[in-house]
Amino acid sequence: MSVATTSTGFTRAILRVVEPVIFGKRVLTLTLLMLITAFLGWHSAQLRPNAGWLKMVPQAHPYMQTFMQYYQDFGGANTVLIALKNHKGDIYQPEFMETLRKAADDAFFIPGVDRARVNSIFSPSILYIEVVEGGLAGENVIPSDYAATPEMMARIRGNVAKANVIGRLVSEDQTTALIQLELLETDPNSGTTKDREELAKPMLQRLREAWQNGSDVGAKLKAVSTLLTKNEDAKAGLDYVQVGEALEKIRAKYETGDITVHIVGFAKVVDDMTKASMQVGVFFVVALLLMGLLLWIYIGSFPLAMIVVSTSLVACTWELGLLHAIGYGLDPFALLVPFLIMSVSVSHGVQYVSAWANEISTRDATPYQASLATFRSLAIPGVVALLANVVGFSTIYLINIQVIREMSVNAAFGMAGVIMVNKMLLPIVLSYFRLPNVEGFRRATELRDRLGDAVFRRMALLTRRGPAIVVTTICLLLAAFGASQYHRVQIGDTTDGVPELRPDSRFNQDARAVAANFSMGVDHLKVIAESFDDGCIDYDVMAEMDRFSWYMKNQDGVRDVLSLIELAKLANSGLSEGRLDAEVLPRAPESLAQITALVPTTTGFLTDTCDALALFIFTTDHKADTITALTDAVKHYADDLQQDKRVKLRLASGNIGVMAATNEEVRRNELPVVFYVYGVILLFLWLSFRTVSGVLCIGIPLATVTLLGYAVMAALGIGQKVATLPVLAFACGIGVDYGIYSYSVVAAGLRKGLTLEEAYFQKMRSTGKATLFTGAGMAVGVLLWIFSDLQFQKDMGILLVFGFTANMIGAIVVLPSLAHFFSKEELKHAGKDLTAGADDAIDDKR
Amino acid sequence: MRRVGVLFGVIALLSGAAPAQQEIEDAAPAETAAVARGPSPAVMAPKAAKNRLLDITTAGPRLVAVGQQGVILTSDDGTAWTQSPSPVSTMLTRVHFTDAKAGWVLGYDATILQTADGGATWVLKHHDPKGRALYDLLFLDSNNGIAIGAYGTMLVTTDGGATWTARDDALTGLGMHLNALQKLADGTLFIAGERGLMARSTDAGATWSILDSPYAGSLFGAMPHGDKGALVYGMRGNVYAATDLASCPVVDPATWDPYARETVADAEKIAALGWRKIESPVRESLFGAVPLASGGALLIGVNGTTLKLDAGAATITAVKTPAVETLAKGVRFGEHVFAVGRRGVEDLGAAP
Repeated sequence: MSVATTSTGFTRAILRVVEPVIFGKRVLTLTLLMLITAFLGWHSAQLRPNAGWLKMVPQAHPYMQTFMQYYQDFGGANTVLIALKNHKGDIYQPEFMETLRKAADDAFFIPGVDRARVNSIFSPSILYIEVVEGGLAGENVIPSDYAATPEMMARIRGNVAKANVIGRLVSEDQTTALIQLELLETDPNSGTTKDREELAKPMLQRLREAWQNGSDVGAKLKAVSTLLTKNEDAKAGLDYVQVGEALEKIRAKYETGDITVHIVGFAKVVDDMTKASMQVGVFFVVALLLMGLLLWIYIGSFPLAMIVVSTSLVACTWELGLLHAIGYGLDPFALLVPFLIMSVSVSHGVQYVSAWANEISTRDATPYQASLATFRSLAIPGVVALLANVVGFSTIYLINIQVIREMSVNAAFGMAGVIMVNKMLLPIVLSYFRLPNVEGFRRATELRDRLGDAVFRRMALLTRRGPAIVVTTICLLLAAFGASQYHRVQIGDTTDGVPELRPDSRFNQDARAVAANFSMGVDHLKVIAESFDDGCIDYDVMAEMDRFSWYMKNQDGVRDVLSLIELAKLANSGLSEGRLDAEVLPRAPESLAQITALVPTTTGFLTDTCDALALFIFTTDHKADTITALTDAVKHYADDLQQDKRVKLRLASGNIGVMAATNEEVRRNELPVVFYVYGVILLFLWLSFRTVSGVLCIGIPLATVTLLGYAVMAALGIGQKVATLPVLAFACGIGVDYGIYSYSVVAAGLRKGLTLEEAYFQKMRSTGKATLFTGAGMAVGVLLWIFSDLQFQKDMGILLVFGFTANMIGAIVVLPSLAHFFSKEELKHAGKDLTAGADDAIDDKR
Repeated sequence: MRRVGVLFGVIALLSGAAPAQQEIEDAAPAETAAVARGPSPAVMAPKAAKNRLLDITTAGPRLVAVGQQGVILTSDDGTAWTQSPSPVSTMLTRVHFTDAKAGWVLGYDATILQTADGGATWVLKHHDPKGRALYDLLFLDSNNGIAIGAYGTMLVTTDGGATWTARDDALTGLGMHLNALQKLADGTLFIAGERGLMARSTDAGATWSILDSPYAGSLFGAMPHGDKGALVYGMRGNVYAATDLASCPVVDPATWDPYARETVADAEKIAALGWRKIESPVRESLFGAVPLASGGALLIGVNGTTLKLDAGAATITAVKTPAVETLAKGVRFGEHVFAVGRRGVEDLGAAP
C-alpha cells in the first residue's frame, strides 16, 4: 500500500512532525523523559496533604464577599467546640471545674486560634450583672478569687444561671461545659486583612488588576501567571493537621472514665478527613495490583503488563510532581485525580500494547515497526480522546470554588502526563522491547481470540435491525427515566451530621452529643445587619433587628438566634433590678448606649463603631432544604417585612452561610457545566469524524449515562456538591474516551469498505475488548473507594463505578445499535484512511 | 436622671472594653426617623410558647399567657398553645381576667388590650410610645379600674376601660415603679413597688397612704394574707407578711426618700411596723406567687427558683422543679402548676 492512496493530509502532517522526534531521536527523547520524570518524582515525593478552608468556598459569591468583609469584626465560620461532659454529676464539682479550667487554658495554645474569641465560662468576657439592695453587682461567671472549693462551686452555679449561658456554654442539664474557639485561616501573626480582601475579589478582577499593574508585557504576563499558579494559602495557611493533633492532645489529656471530651468543628473535620484520606493510599496500591493482575491475564504477558502499569505510574508521577512544582498541596478531594490518571493511562496503554502485540504476532513486525504502526493508528484518536478529556475536566474550572479548580488543574496536569506517557514514552519503550516467546504469545493470543471471536460474532448481531431497535429503545427509555429523576437530586448535603465523614464516625457522634445538649451548635448562619456609625443606639435600628431576630427565631430549622439584641436586653434587665419584664430594648439613645457598651466587640456581635451587627442563627442541621428555607426567609423579611430600610441585611457568614453560598454556586453551575462539557465533547467528536453519525453514536450513550447518573444520585441520596460535581465531568471524559476508541475503528472499517457488522466485529477484536477490559479495570480501581471512611469518597466511588461501567456498556452495546441507524454517513468519507498509514509502517520498513 | 447615675457606675464597674458610648451626640441622624410610629401587630410566632413569657392566668377552662413581641397564647391543656392575633408587638407584661370571657392585657408603651371572648381576639384600648410600661391592673367593678406601672405610672378608668386617665398625686409623684396592685379581703387596696414602696388605699384608690416599709429593696409582688393582711415578696428572696394592714404606720410622702432608706434588720422593729419577715433558704429575687389549695403559696423567681410557703406563712422551703431559667409568674391549672418565664411555659409538676 503506498502513501499516495491516503489523503488525511492534516493528520499525516502532524505525524510527519512528531514521528521523527519520537522515533528518530528516541534515545535522546527517552533520556530527556527519564530526567524530567526523575525531577517530577522528586517533587511529588514532597507533596503534602493540604486542605484549606478558603479553598472549599466560592470566594466570589456575594455571601462570601460579606463573609470576607466582616471576617475581622465577626470572625468567620471556623469555629471549634470542645465539650467536656461530667459523668459524675453536674459541672459544679471542684475536680471537673479544674479540668475545665486547664482545658480552657490549653485551648489558647492551639495553632491559629483567635485568642480574642476563646469563650468558656472562664472567659473574662462572660459576666453577669446582679442587683443587690441599693446597687448592682457584676462579676465574671468565674469569680476572680476562684479556687476549686465546694463553696466556690455554689457561687459559680448561681452566676452561670444569671449570665444566661445555659444552652450556650453550659448544657441544659448542666453536666457539660463548652469551650468555644475560633480559628483564623491565616496565621494571626502573618495574615493581614489586606490579603483577605484581596482574596475576596473575584478571580477575573484580580487578573485584570494584575494585568493592568504590570509595567510591560513581560511583567504583565508574570503577574498574571503568578496569580494563576500560586497556591493562595500555602504560605500563611493554617495547618489543620497540627490543629487536629493539638485538639486530640487535649482530648487525650482530659478524657477520663468520668469525663468525656467531645470535639466538633471544621478544623477537626479537616484533620479527620486528611487522616482518613491517607487510607486512600492503600486503595491506590491495591487498585494498582489488581490492575496489574488483570492486565497480565488480559495481555497474556507479564512483562507487557508491567510496562503498562509502570508507565502509568510515570503519568501519575508527572501529575503529582507538576502539582507540587507549582505549589499546590494535595487535598482530600483531589485524591480522586491520581486514580483517574492511573485509569486513563492504563486504558490508553492497553490499547497501545494490545495493538502493538497484535502487529507482532499477526504480521511478524519488528518491535520498532509494530510500535510505529501502532503509533500511526492510535496517536491521533488517542490524543483526540485525551484532549476531549482535558477539555471535559477543564470545564469544571468554571465553578468558582478553589478546590474544584485545583482538581481541574490537577487533572489537566495528569492528562499532560498521560499524553506524554502513552504517545511518547510507551511507543519508545515498546520499540525496544522484544516480546519473549513470540510463538507462545501468538498461540495464546490466537486461543483467546478464538474464544473472543465466538462472543464478538454474537455481539456483532447488535448492528442488525431487530436488536438495534430493541437496544436503542431501551437506551432512550433509560435516558428518559434518568431525566425524570433529575428533579429529585438534592443540592448540597442530604444527611445529618458532617457529610464528609460517615454517620458513625467519632466526629459525628461528638456532634450529636453537642447538639443534644446545647442550643447553639456548630451549624450557624450569620446575617450581617449594616446600618451606620452608632447604629446600635438608634432605637429604630435596634427594634428592626429585634423584629428580624424574632422572625428568624420562629422559623423551622432554627434552634436559637443570638445577637447584640439579646445581650442588650439582658444588660437592660440587669440594670433594671434583674426584672424579667425589663428584658427589652429601651427607647432612649442614652440607655441603649449604656447597655450596648456593656457588650464588648470581642463577642463578635458588633463592630467597633457599631455600624454593623452580626446575628447568629443557630440551625438544627445543615441540610440543603433547611439552608435554602432560611436564606429565603431572610430575603423575604428584607423584601417584604422590614420596616426600617436604613438597615441592610446581608447574607451571609457562618458555616451555614458558606454552605448556602456553596450550594448556590453548585446549583448555578451544575447545568452549565454539563452543557459546556457536552458542547466541547460534541465539537471534538465532529472535528474527529466529520460525521453526524460519529457525534450521535458516541453522544447518545454518553448522555444516557449522565442522565442515569442523576437517577443513581436520587436513589442513593447523594447530593450535588463540591465532591460530586466534578465526578460527572470526569465520568463524561472517560466515557467519551471509550466511545472515540470504539467508533474510530468502526468508522475506519466502514471507510475501507467493510459492512457495519464486520467493522464492529473487527472493532471488538481490537479496541473493543480493550475497552471492555479497561472499563472493568477502572471500575475495580475506584470500587475500593466505597470502603472509604470518608462519605464523599464513598459517594464519588459509587458514582465513578457506575459511570465507568455504564459508559463501557454504552460503547460496546449501545454504540453499534445506534450505528445501525446512522453509520451509512461514514461512506461519504469512503476510501479515506482514519489510521493515518498504519499499515505503511510495516510495509515501508520492510 | 438618678438612673443614669447608677448606669455610669455599672459601666465603670463592669467594662474596661466598652466601646461606642463616647459620641452619643452625633449619633444616628435624628432627622431620618425611618419607622412610622404606631403599633404594628404581632407576628405569628410558632415557637412563642418556648420563648420569653411574662404572665399566665386562667380564663374559665383555658390558660392564657402573654409575653415578648406582643405574643398572646391560649391553651386548653397547657401543652398545645394557639397564638391570638394581637394589635401590638410590644412586650406584654400582665394578663388579667375579670371573668371567663372578659380580660385585660398590659404592656410596654402604656399598652392596654381588652378581650371579651376569653382571649381569642383583642382590641387596643390604650397605647402611647412615649408612655411607660404597665405592670398590674385591678377592676373594682365593671366600670372602675386602675392600672399601674413603671416610674409611678397610674392610669384610671371610670368607663369600663374605654378611656384611661393618668393620675398625678403624692404616690405617683415619687416616680417609683409600681409593681403589684391587690385588693385585700376587707376591700383595702394595696400597692407594692420599687425600693420597698408600700401603699394602701381604703377609699377605692382615691387617696393613697405610704406605709413605713421594713425593706429597702424592690418588691415585685403581693398577695392577700388572711382577712386584712398582705404578703409581699421581692429582691433576693425577701418575703414579708402583715396580718393587719390598717395597723401599719404610714409616712409622709414628702419625707419618703428611697435613697436614704435602709432595710430594717431587727425582728422587733419590723414587728413595730406591722410586718414579719419570713426567712428564705434561697437569696434569689422572687417575681411571682401561686396560691395553693392548701393555703400556702409557691414563690417563683430568678434561675427557676421555686419556694414553698406553708399555709401558716411561717416557713419557706425550696422545691425542686425542672425549671432552670428565670420564672416570672405562675398559675394553678388542674393538678399542676404552670409557670412562665424566659423559656416560655414550663410545667412545674403537681402542685405540692
